[in-house]
Amino acid sequence: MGSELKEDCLINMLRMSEGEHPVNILELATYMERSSDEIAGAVRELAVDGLVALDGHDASFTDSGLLSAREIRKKHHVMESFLVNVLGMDHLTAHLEAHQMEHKMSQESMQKLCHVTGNHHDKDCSACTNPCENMVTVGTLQTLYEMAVHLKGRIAFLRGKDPSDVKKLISMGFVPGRDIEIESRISSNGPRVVNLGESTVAVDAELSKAILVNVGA
Amino acid sequence: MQSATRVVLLGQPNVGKSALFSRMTGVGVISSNYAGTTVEFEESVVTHNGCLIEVRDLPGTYSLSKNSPDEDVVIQMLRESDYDSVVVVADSTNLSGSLVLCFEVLELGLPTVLALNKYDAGCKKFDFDIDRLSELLDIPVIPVSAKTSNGVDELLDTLCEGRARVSGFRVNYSEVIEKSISTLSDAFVSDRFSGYGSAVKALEGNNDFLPTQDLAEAVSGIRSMLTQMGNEPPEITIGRERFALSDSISRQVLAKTQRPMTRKERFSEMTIEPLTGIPILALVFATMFLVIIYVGAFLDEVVSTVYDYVLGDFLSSLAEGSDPFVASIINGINGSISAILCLVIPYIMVFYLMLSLLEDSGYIPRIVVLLDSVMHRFGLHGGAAIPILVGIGCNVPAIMATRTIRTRRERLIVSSLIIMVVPCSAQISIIMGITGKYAGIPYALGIFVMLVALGCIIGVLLNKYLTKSPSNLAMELPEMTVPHVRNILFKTWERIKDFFLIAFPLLVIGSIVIELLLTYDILNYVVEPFSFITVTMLGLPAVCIVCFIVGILRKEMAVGMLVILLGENFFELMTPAQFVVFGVVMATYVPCLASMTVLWREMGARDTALILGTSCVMALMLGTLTHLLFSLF
Repeated sequence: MGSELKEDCLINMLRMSEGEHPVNILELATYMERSSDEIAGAVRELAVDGLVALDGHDASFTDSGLLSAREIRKKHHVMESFLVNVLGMDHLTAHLEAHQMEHKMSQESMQKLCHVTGNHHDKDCSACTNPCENMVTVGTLQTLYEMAVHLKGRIAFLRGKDPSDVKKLISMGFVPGRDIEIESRISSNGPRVVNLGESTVAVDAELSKAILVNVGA
Repeated sequence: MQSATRVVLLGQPNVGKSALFSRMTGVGVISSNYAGTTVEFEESVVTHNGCLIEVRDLPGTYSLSKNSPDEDVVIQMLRESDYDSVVVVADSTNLSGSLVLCFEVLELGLPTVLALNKYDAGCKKFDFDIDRLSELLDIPVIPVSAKTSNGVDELLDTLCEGRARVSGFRVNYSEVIEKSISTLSDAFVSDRFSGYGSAVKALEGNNDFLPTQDLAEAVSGIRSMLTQMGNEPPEITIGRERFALSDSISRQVLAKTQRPMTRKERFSEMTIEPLTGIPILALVFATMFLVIIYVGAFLDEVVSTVYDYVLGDFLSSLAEGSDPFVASIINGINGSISAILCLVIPYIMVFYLMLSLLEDSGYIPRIVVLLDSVMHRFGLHGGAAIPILVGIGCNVPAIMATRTIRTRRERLIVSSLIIMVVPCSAQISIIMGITGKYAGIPYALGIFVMLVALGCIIGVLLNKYLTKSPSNLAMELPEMTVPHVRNILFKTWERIKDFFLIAFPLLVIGSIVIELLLTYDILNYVVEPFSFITVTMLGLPAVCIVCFIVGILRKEMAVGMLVILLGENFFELMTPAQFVVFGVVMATYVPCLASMTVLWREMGARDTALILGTSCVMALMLGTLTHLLFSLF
């Protein structure tokens, strides 16, 4: 079984669940447009490697599996960022190339590329064209919910469960790349009041968990 | 006949569209300093220098993405109605936010003018380069101030001269998005919208602008591909690039002026800090309540004394010397004038003055933020506080205001609360003017406490029964401003004039009929069949059924009827306990006919019947329970 397929399984499981719930193997196979036997075999091998835990047809990440999946996705984004921002390649080609290289790249290359792309926080790839969602627990990325009052940052990405929430946030200006400052927090589970551009906007606790901010960017 | 230039006003919430509409047309519409005042469109025709302009004011929308029912109204209007040009109303104090909506309109290929509203306020914060903005957007940009009328004539001139134009402006999205747009755009051209704009909207997940829904499947495939490639849905990529450009344009055309923080801004900050915001909120609510109680009682005294001196005593003496038929008519008129004046001016007018003050100051959204956590306990978000607050004035606009709430489940909870436990201003005046005045203020306060407790119980039960997490709150907080006396008075008059124009004639007719029934001793036959409810269950005089029935027409008529039915000395014929029972029933039983009609329209027959039935049963149970409690002690 090729290690690339196993890594593809990991990254796609991450896309489907963000590590928050188990993924059905048949759904994973459909999502990856591969046969169910092929994917079931790869997932079983991942289970033997200790990267996923199997429960019938459901697979969930182990801690090390989740880290590995995030690492692969980070490599993808760092490489894509390098190809687009440094080499000036178009997004589509860069994305396809990065998809190949994410399996080959060493940790050292990735860190150096992070510096080249202008991001000196080696665990933070917010300089990527498409910032990845794996930065929740590392570096300076925090959800708006977690941010302390008066902290400033730049929105890195949105990850709402309900698409209409994401649409609403976008239409109000919560889009990656915009500066944001938390002005007030009514209570730990109350709304957050933020300064966004020239607007002051209140976002409730649940929605504030959907906004990832690169603090201090 | 000269054909009119048809114009629609489009803009984000709280940019001042309704105020600008009023300035352009001279037609007064209610505008406030918070998002969501307009939930339906208003229209009017204005003649400017011999040119006829038909103006439509649409509800505020952050985007054309169909996120709530009121945004649906905007999209439907843009798709289906006839218009020659779109005036995008932008907020000068928040240009980059407003520009994003303007980009969407320009992409759709609609002839557009940008009206830069609140220009006077904007100039205090920025120096504007209007020519550069017009050049970048490729459309006329007119600075206006709806507050002072500055620039409104120039805007009307621009529209009359047909200078609204289809812009060549493009955001220039990333290559992969642009490629997808060009793949789709040829097939998406329609009579009204450009293929480019329709394709962008489709990629954002809004198929409303497609010429035919057969194309939806193709769009879905491309959206999936873009999501896979970009690791994010295309609407995020598109939104990000739009905002990046709007921020960039804002930087090019605005220069920030240096100034220290004003006192208003400092106070504004205090209202949303937990340490200061919550005490301020408590103070605001307590002030409102005390003003309604004490100022209301004082005005009640003044109005009734002045009325008796000027007209009341004269009409009474006139009635005494007349034959029974004429006396009935005179008494009917006298009782209705007295009831409506003593009800509307002291309580309803005072409440609306206070509400208008809060609305125009921009404090309402702060209340929403502060109450958000509390509202979550009832399966609602803080935004639901707005319809509930409006409902304390009148249930009709309150139920309409639930349109700003996204899910039907939450609309049902809020509508139920409004109908069952939120007393409208007429009900407040009954509680204060009847129960408070004749049984004692503590009993009136007791009814309010009972309503709050009932609201909590109903809210918790509905939340439990209709299980689902509440939708989320994201709300712009406007700057706090000093309200304008003119707008406060205008809004108050707009809201109370129906009491004089609609309720008063009905009350006069009803009063005369009741007086005649009393005079000729027919009333007993009417009220007798209901005496089990009124007398046995509630312990009230049998004639009170008439108050409950006419109260369905207009709540405020119930008090007038009580005066007519029992005479001006009615307070001597009823015990304090009966006034409390009367107040409890009036506060909780079915709403007025207008509220029922709106509820029916908004929530459908089944839910309306369910809410009204529950409300009726609850009122009877509470009234009976109150009667029994007083019988025991």
